[in-house]
Amino acid sequence: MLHFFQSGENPNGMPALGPLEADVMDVLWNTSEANVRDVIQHLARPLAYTTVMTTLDRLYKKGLLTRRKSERAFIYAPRLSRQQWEEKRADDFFSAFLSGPDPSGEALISYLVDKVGKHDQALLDEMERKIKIKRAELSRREAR
Amino acid sequence: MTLPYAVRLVCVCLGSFFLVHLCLYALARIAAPLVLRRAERIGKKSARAATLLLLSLRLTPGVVSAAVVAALCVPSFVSLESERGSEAASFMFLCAAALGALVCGLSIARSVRAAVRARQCIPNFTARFAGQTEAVHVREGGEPFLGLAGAWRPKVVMSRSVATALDTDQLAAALRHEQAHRVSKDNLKRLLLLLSPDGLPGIALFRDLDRSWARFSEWAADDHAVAQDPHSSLALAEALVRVARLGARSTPIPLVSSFLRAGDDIPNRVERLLNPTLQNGSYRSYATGVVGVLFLVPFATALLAPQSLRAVHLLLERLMH
Repeated sequence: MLHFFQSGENPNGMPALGPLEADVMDVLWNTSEANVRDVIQHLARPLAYTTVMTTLDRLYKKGLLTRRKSERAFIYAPRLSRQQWEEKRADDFFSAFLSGPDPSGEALISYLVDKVGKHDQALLDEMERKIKIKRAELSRREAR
Repeated sequence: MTLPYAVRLVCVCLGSFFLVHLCLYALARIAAPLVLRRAERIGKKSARAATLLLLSLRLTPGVVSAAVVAALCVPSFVSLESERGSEAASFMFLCAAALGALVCGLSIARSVRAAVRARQCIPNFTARFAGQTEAVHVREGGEPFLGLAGAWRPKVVMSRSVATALDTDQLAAALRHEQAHRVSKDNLKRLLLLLSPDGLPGIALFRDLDRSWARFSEWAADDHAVAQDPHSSLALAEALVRVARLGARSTPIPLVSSFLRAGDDIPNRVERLLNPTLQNGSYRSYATGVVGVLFLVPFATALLAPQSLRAVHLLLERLMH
C-alpha cells in the first residue's frame, strides 16, 4: 500500500502531471485563461517559448485544457477548476486503490489520517513562519 | 380526474412553478461553469462581488419562477377561468403539480431543519471578552468552535478552548470576521440558498456553486474584518492558524458561518491576508440588478400587455387538459 501512495501514478484515471505541467496548470488556474506569452510571464523561472508551447499542447491533448484561436495564437483555459481537478484526482486514486486485489479500507483510512495530519501540521508551521516574517517586516517598516 | 376550482388554482400555481422553474434551473446550470469562471476571476479583486454574482445565479430560477406564477399564471386563471363547476385535469398536469409541491416542500423542510440545528448550536451562557462590546455565546465543552449561528438575529458562538487560545488582538480580529458575516447577512443568504428549490426532487446540481459562494463569503468577511489594516490582517491570519491547530474545523451546518470549516482553504485565506494588494480592487457588480429586472419583467408584462394573460390562460388550459 505504501508503494501505491508513493508511486504518484494513476493507472486508469486522471493523467499524472510533471513538475512543469503542474506549474503551468497553476498559472492557468490563477489567470483563468492565457496564451503562451502570458504563461511565460507568470512562471517563476525563465523558460523558452517552445518549451511552454509544447507543455500547453501536451496538457490540451491530455484533455486538461480547452483552447481557442485569437489573432494567430491559441488562448488556453483549464477544463476543470482546481477544486474539480483535485476532487477527480482523489476519486480516481481511491477507486484505483479499492478496485485492487484485497483492498484494506481500514489501513487506507488510518494511513490517510496520519498522512493528512502530518501534512496539515507542516502547512500550519509554514504559514506561521510566513506570518512571523511579515510581522517582522511590518515592525521594521514602522520603526523607520 | 375532476377537480374543483380552488384545487385547480393551487395545482396551476404548483404545476406552472415547477415547469417554469425546471426550464430556468436547466438554463442556470448551463450558465454555471461560465459564471463560476467569472467569479473566480473577479473574486481575486472583490470577493464580495463574486458572492453576489454566484448568489444571483443561484436564486434566479426560484425568484423568476415565483414572479411568473404570481404575475401571470394566477391573475390569468382568476380572471379568465370559470369559478362554477369542476373540471377534469390531465395526468401530466397533476404530475407537474405534485412535483412542484414536492420540490417546494423539500426546500422548506431542509430550511426548517437547518434553522433548528442552528438554534441548537447556540448555548445560553454568554460572556463579554476584554475590549469587546458585544456578548458572545460561550460553549464550555465539546469540539473547538467559532462561528455565527442562525439566520435571523444570528449569534456569535465560541467554545472556551478557542477563547483561551487567542490573544486579545487575535480574538478581536476573529470576532470582527464574524461581525462581517452578520453585517452582510450571510446566514440569511444561506437560508435563501436552502429555500431555493432543486430542479427535480432530491437532485441538487448547484453544489459547486454553493461551495464557491461559501469560500468567497469567507474571503469577503476576512476583507471586511481587516479593512486593509496590516496589523489586523496579521492578527486574523494568526487567529486562523491558531484555531486550525486546535482542530476546529467543523462539519458545515447550513445556517452557521464557521470561522474554519472542514475543507476550508486556510493557505489561500492566510496568503490573501499577508498580501493585502490581492484584495484591494473594487468591482461593481450588476448581478443583483439583473435579477431584480428579471423579477419585474413578468409584472411589467401583465401590466403593460394585459392580453398576455389570455395567452397564458390558453397555455394553462392546454397544460390542464
